[in-house]
Amino acid sequence: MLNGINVGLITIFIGLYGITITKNAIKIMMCLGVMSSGVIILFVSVAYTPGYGAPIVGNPGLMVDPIPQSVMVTAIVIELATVALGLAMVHYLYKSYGTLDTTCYEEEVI
Amino acid sequence: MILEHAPALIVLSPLTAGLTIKVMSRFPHSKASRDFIAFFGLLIPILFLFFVSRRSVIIYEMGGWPAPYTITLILDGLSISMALITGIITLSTFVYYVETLDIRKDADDYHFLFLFMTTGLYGVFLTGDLVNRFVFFEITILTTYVLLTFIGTRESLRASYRYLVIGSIASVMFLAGIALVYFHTGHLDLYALSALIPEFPAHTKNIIFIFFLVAVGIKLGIIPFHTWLADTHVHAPTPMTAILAGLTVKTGGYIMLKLFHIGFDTILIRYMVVGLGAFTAIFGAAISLKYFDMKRILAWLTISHMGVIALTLAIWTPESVASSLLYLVNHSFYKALLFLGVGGLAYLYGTSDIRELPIMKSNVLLSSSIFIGLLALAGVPPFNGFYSRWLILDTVQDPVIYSVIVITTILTVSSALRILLLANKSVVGKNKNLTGGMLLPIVILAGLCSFIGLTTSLVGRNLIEPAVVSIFGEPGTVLVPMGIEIQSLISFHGMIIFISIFIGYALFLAVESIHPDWIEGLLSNVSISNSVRYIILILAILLLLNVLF
Repeated sequence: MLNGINVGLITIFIGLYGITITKNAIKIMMCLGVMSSGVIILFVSVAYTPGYGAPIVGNPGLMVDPIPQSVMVTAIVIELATVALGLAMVHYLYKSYGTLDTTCYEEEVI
Repeated sequence: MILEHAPALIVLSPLTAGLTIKVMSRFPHSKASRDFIAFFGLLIPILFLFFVSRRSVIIYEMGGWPAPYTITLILDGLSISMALITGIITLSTFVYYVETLDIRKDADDYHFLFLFMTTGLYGVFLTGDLVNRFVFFEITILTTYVLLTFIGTRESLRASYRYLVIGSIASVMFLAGIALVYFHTGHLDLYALSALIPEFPAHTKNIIFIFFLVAVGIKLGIIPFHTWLADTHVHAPTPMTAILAGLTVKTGGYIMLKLFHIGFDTILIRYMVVGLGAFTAIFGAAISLKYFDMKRILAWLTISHMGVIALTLAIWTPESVASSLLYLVNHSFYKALLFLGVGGLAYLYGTSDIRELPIMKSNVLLSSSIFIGLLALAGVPPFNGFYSRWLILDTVQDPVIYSVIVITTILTVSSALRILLLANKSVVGKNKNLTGGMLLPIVILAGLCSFIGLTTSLVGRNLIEPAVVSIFGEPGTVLVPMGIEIQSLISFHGMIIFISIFIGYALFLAVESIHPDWIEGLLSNVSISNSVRYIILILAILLLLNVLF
């Protein structure tokens, strides 16, 4: 069944799967973006009720619960911060290791 | 009365101090005034926490709206205990790092991020709402990612990057869990949820909890979600290792406790957590026997201890939760002490390899504090580690879990003794000296380890019992017995611990490592893609279990 909840969950798992098959540090960040998009689709569709309007003052008729949408605005901001920080780290990792391949970052432990 | 506003002021005071320092950094200012502001930002919450009553509940409605529509901050027995540990450990790490920062240009940023991280930790413990817990945890973890890299090495960058990837997966899974809870209830407030969730069918509860378990497991660092933990502890700056081992991993335990509390407590959920916890407890301690880097040994022992905490929480009786909380409190103190201590040693001698560190031949105060920390870790009376372990053995009924705890004790003792006995016996020259500010928190934490050990019944009555009462209501039985200090020494379980200490010593003498190499290859130094494979695998296994049973 193709509804928002299933699409959201599948998108999360596509993102997870992406991290397992790539070694590129930037692509891992893109996969995190995909996962976050999935969870946002999931949350917004969970809060949607058929026939209800957008929660804006002045709209006629019934409105959906605005709390999940405000939560998702917060989650988008957090995702933005995380990915931006991750990309900044990738930049410095590339400067110090000379490669984006995450398997080259491993080293011997004592 | 100002105490009515205590919950808000506890969260706001580090936040305000952090923002003030950030604004001040734009203008010329003296270092003393900056340190003064940061110190007060961290001190004020502790003062509030000492003065509020531990037996009553303060529910603070932010913004003045009534309860279901607003953000609530809750001060009850449990959150007061957790916030008090947060206050003591953040303040001592602050005192540890503040003097060493003077040479750095970005000291203002360090203060700012540290105070924001403290805000996030207080917020996680105080908030009464699932989404705000998520937001505060993100504040903590985002600042942690940056603070981990402040040492400036590429290894710290690598460890922090891995933590960022795995931590983001935890955030997504937590949000997905919240979305499913909202789908079934239409609420996000914990009080409203605790009335609705117990009426779910067990099947629904299990599926939702599996998502939460991945998130909480990553925060706790239980196997197989532990892959970020060891590297971050080894390569991070010293104050951050103490915060990570002392507080950040504990937020996972706290969130798990809250999830059990609001109704996710079916048999299958508890078996899953007990299974993962038992596995983690044994293998975390076993793998720690392999390494020579003291920070790495301590990090693996943290994993093992988190397994014990998850295991005892999941038994979910008032007695086991009390023993788990006492274990959590004690572990916070001695792990913070040991990480600060080994950081001091690494600062003096430029290495953390136990074969080169003269652990017992260094500065007298530093050496004796680390000695106390190691004895507490091994569970030797009268230090605090002994009593929490005794209480766990006393409350566990099941013979399998009992033997898991005993095996973990033996391995932990062996690991702690290994640090003591393999250490460099000769006096090594050093070219630096510890400042008073670095020694002071180490000595205070060592004093607290001994003091809490000697007054366990007082700590139990004032911190642990109110916490358990706020979860289960009045228990009717004594959770931490009076006179535990004497009683435990002459009891059956005390004898078991003494025997375990000797077996642990014999184990250290007898064998080099006690587990096959492939287990270590599987569990330690896991790459990013493999750790995500583990997460997917465990998700699949747990969902399959849920379908089968």
